[in-house]
Amino acid sequence: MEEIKKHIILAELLAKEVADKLSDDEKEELNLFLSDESLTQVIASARKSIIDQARLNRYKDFDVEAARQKIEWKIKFRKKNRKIRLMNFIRYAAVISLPIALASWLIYTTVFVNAPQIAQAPIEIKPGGSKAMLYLSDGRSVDLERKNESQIKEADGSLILKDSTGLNYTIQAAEIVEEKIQENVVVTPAGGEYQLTLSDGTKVWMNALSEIRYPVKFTGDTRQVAIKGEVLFDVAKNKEKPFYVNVGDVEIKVLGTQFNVMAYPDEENIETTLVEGSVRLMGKNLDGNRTQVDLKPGHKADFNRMSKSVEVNTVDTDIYTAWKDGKFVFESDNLEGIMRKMERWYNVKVFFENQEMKNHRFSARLSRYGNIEDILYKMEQTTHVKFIIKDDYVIVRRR
Amino acid sequence: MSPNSDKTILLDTQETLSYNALFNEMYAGLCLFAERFLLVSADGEDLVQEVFVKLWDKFEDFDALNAIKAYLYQSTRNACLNQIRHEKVKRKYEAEQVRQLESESFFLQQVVEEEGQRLIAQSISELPPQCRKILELSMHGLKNSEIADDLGISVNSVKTQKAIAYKTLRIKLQNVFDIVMLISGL
Repeated sequence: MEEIKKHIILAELLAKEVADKLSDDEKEELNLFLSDESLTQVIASARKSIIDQARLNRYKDFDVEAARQKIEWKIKFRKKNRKIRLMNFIRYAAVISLPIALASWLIYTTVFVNAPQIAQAPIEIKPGGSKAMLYLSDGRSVDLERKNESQIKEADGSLILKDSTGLNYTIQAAEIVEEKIQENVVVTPAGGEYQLTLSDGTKVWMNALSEIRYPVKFTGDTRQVAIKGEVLFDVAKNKEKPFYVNVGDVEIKVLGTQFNVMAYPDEENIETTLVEGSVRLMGKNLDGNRTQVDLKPGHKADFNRMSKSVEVNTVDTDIYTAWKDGKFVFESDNLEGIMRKMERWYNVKVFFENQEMKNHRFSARLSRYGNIEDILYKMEQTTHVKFIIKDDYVIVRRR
Repeated sequence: MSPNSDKTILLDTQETLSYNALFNEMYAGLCLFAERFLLVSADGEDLVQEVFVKLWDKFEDFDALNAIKAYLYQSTRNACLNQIRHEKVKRKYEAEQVRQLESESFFLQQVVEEEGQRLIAQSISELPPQCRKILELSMHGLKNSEIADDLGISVNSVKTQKAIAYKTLRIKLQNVFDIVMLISGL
């Protein structure tokens, strides 16, 4: 191992030499290597080959993420395979020592009949539902999944109503003393959705894996909230107090309206779909200059996280807001995007065994409160895809 | 699709190293390393994946990056030689070929070449997006005017970005064509 490590160190020095980035100590180190006659040939040959353009171009040929998923899968499933192989071996070994009639029966049952699976408690995949955590301004957390009606008291005395539809901030006790702004946060897990009404009457629908930060009461000249994930707003009209939604790189100024923001970190774009009213998107492009785009109803703006550019299209907004009514609407969506939605809502992990399946497209309108098996089955009917469910993993392969 | 399982260790340099980060860094390089041994390079990826699967269990035993790299290069070589010896039986490799591939000096030479090249490829990948694109197109043999057309920018922009790239990397890349010209004495 020491000899190998020595060569790894030499490689690093040679790479730095090419880039002219050797420190004085490293130059010394390299000279030591150079003075070793046994390495002269190695160094001369390496100096030429490591800058070979043709080979340098090859590093991009590999789909590293696909490979990483594959090994995550291999690591998880290899132990089970070993057990099954051992059982088969014992079965076949028994066959050899028995008389022919019995042996043929055993061959029949092992070879022609599926081997019984090792019984394990199956993990059930359930669709999502109303689930979230509320974090109050003093750090207290409340599990919102429990359906009971209750009142939660904030530190400043204001009351938050919790009923079967969600949280309601519009009921305020008369004797509130406004001091510090109390901030609350609601977070939904994978498989969770939640609804709330903010103190100004703005209605909020949260999809899975989402977060919203907002003040218990809106004071000052503006109403400000911040979100992550996917949230649909029906903002209460108030010309005197514009409503701002912060989504990381993008700020959305709202003028009394209904719109959806999709901002999952694993999606390429931040998508804002305007149903009614008007919004203004504000951000910074790659040069650092401020940009803004005004949307009209029916517009969807895609802000690309990488290039920081915005593209606006006219769309059927129902496709992007149907989730709040418990529906999946796929309109020629690619399978990769669809499966990411499955991951968030059903809390499963998806592996594509065949990468080219990611680009297959589907259109469908389905209830998202149904079983995942039904949805996957429908997709299998329309194209050459096969889904295999193992515990909470879904494997996608070409059929 | 959403990475969930990962392991992190503390190195002797007081830095942390995660299994996934190590995989992302070393995977392509090790596949190309395997290609130096195997006739059929398609087998290289499966082979390297198996090496990483085995590493998962041993990951926490390590506390130095070079030790892990040495282990990865060694394991990949061993897996390649196993395959080659198996294939030799099927007459796909000549005895002399196998002897050469098995030699210790050949192995160490390949380690230096692959690790060195991997580090350079990594510096290239760390350039800002447009800069990198321009450098890659140039490495594919495209002329400045062709690159400008392809990306929809001016030739001047191309030249500026190239200058930035070369300044950041200070790499003098060897063009395959240069070597050919040298050899044929032109």
